[in-house]
Amino acid sequence: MAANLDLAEAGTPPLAPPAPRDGAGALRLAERLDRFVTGAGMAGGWMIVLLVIVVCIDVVTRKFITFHSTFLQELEWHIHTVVFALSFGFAYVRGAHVRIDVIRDRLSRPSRARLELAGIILLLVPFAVLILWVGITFAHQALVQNEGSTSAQGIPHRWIIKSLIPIGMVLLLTAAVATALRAWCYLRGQADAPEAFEQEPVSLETPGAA
Amino acid sequence: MDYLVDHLAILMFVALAGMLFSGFPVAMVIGGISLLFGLIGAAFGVFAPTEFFNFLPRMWGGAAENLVLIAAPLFIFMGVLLEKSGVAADLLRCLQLLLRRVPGGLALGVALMGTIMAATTGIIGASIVMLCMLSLPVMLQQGYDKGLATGVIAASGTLGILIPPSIMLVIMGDLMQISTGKLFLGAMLPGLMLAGLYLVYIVTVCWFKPKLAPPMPADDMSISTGRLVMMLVKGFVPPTVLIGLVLGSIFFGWATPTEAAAVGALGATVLALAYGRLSWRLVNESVRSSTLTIGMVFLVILAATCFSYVFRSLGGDDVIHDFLNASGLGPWGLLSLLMFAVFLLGFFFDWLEIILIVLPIFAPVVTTLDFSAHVADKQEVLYWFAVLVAVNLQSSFLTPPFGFALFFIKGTAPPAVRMGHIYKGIVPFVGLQVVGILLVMAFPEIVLWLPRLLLDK
Amino acid sequence: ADPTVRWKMAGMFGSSFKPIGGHIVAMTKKAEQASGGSLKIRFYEPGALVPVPGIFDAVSQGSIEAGYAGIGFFTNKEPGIALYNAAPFTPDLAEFMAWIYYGGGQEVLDEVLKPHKIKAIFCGVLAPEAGGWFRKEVNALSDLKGLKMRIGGLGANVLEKVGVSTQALGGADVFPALERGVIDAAEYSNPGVDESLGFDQAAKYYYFPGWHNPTSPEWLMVNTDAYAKLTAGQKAALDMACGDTVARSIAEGEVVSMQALQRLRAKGVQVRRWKPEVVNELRRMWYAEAERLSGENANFKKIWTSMSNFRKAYAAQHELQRLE
Ligand code: NA
Ligand code: NA
Repeated sequence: MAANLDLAEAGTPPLAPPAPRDGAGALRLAERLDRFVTGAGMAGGWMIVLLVIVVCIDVVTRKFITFHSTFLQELEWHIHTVVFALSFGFAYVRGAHVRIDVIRDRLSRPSRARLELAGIILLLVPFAVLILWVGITFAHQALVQNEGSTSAQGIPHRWIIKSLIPIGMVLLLTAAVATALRAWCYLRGQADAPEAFEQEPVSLETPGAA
Repeated sequence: MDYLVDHLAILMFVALAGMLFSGFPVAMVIGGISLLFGLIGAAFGVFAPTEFFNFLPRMWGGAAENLVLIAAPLFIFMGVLLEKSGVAADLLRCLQLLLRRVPGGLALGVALMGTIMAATTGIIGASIVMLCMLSLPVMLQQGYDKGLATGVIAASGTLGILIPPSIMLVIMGDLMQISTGKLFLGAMLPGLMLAGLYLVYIVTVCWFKPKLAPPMPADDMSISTGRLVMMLVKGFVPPTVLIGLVLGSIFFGWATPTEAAAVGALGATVLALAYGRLSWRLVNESVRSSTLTIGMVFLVILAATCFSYVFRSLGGDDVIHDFLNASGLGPWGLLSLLMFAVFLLGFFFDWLEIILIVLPIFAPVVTTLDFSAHVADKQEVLYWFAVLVAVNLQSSFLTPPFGFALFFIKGTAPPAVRMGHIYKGIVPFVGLQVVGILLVMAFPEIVLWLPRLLLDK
Repeated sequence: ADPTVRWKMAGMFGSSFKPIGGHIVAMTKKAEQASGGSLKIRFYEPGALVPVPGIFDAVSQGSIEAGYAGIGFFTNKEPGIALYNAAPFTPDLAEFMAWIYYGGGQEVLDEVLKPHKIKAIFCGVLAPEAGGWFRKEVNALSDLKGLKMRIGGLGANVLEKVGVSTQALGGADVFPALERGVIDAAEYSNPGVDESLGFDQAAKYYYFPGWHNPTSPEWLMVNTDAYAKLTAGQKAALDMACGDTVARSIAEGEVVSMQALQRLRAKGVQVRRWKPEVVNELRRMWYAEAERLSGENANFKKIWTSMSNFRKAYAAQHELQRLE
């Protein structure tokens, strides 16, 4: 029974960090960036536990005592926003973002690396930079208007939580830089293919069952 | 050249379809195409660059300041915990044992679990991910056909949008100004009917093609009655408690469906503790897996809000509207066309987008159509139509290229399962959805009987 | 002929939202016709361009030219504007329109919204709101204490003081929450809207009047740069279209509420009026709350002072004209 399969990266054994050959400086930088986005992602992830607790407190207190649950309800979506915004970069370096791999599967590994570099430069970076830019404007507007909650019982200072979207984009860009560095080193024969887009397909079929 | 500019929205779809097959992450392709076509539109003077600022409020309202979507991380976390603690595997093992003499027993178990979960929530992503984690590895290990395995997960995992409680029905009722309570009752039987269709299909196809669903190995089959009873108790009690907790907290009015997700997550933690399986490592691993899935799901949601904005701004709505106006059909022809249009839109958009585009255009059209021979009460026509759209929109989760159920499965499944398997597996289930839509069209009583019975007119 | 102007207008209410939705769409058509076809305002359903809470920022930035909304929804951007749309114990419509058109109300609003680069034009009225659906009878203020109630806006501030636990549930969550008893009471909208959402299936007692929001003027919000680019003729077309919409939406709102209430009564809904002492106590608390808010925000104070001064001057006239 394959009971300990991971959710988003089911069946893929974690690859060891690429052993530095040449280009060790670039790889070390990639490693550091990876650790940064992973740390941010996990820090956000642990907020899920907090979210469970807050919602349960809201449910229980509302049932038994009179309580200002508008504050708790706003806290809930605040936590939720922190969780997902901090996870974008983490999900990218771990290869968790969903792909339509029908054609890609048939390409050679170097071709996939080149394709990934092209995607990073032409799609990911422009989009993330755009959202970073309009996201900063969005949060800044909340700051200058001193935007608070629509409810007097809610959480003030909306600019703080609104900053999470640009922060998420910074993490995604960081993950993209780490992946691009690794892909570049891989193409020059200096490292293994990065986990972000190169996972060994592992067969789950037990021998004789398929 | 003008022709090209007028049809930029269509070109946008073509470009998207092509680029998705590059194998670059779906979210970034959607986002990149949105930016590209915004810029192209700006170059031709049909898109103002300041409109890019509208991306953020859309993302914000769609994903962040949204009390409904907080259920997604909670249900995902609950699912991961159940999976990693082995509680879910126990239930599946039980269903497998109980259904072991029936062809395709494991797939039947999945369909039943999907139906039960549909009654606890309407959050599709979470249901799919949970079912996928609980059952896909087991089915693959037992040598199930990858298409059948993913197809049954996708179809039964999306039942939650139809079987109440359903966020979609609430929003539809709000938009069409009809009673949500009545709409809930109306959607109940069609939802159960679809679940029934899945079960019948699975039994039939596995009867004729046993290779699709190999039975349990013989040594697992021979089990003493005493041990079987023990297993049933151990396998069924925890999930029953959990479902009772989730459903109960909704129906006894302790929690909204969204909040019930947290109650369920807490319950799953307590169960893991009770079974002596709770550890720091288990929670950390669950947090890690949940976070990766959440990152995937929410980046797609954010990018999709950008895509639909640019599409709309480039006049995509008008293209749909003109297409309808040009038809010139009678009531049944127009209803069929509307249903077909919703189905077609479902290939690309998610339900919320479709509801926003379609209902305001279609609902007034439907009120003017004469179905008096078929549905006597004019008000009831609206409920019938709403449920028809709801069944149709369930299919939109299943149809490529933008089938969110398919993305969720791909994001959760082991790499051995390719997108091609999932596409192939979903075909018969989409066929069953069409059968379901046709049945509801032909027999409006499937929708109207229960509300008539329970609500005095 | 005037140069053609194309605006995107984000709606807070859908085109099928009765009774105001049809009037909003009609308003855009009238403005186009009256401008000789040169002012083309395209109406977008709620959320189609930006979500409703984002309309204020989008118009302010000019990423959309216009929005149609109850501006009281955006009090977290500018607290005082609640008084123009959704505040407790506001004047009745005649008095409100007197203040807006001839009593300095519009001028103060223009001044407050100027830094946000928004011009707000009075452009329609929603039928008066009901006081809310309650699962139990409310005979005294003490019956409200401890209740969990969905209520938005400044009315919530007042009820919090009474000891109500107010809930800011979103539109779609209100019905299921009330039906299942997650909350004990909910105010949502006017009888027509409340009826169509089926609240009668969730609670038995329906209280009037809607003291928390007795009049609901709706506004066309326009980016000031976009507005400045209009010719005098186009501005006049906009004024005419909005003025006509105000008149017609008031009239239809009354009829829709009247018919909805007849149907609700026939279904056995207990339609009640608040006890006078309950209303008087709530009014007293609202005035105290408004004073507090005036102390907190200069723009709120400016608007509140303008409105209060006008009401004081108007009271004598109102009293003289009143028939016994
Ligand atoms: Na459901
Ligand atoms: Na689809």
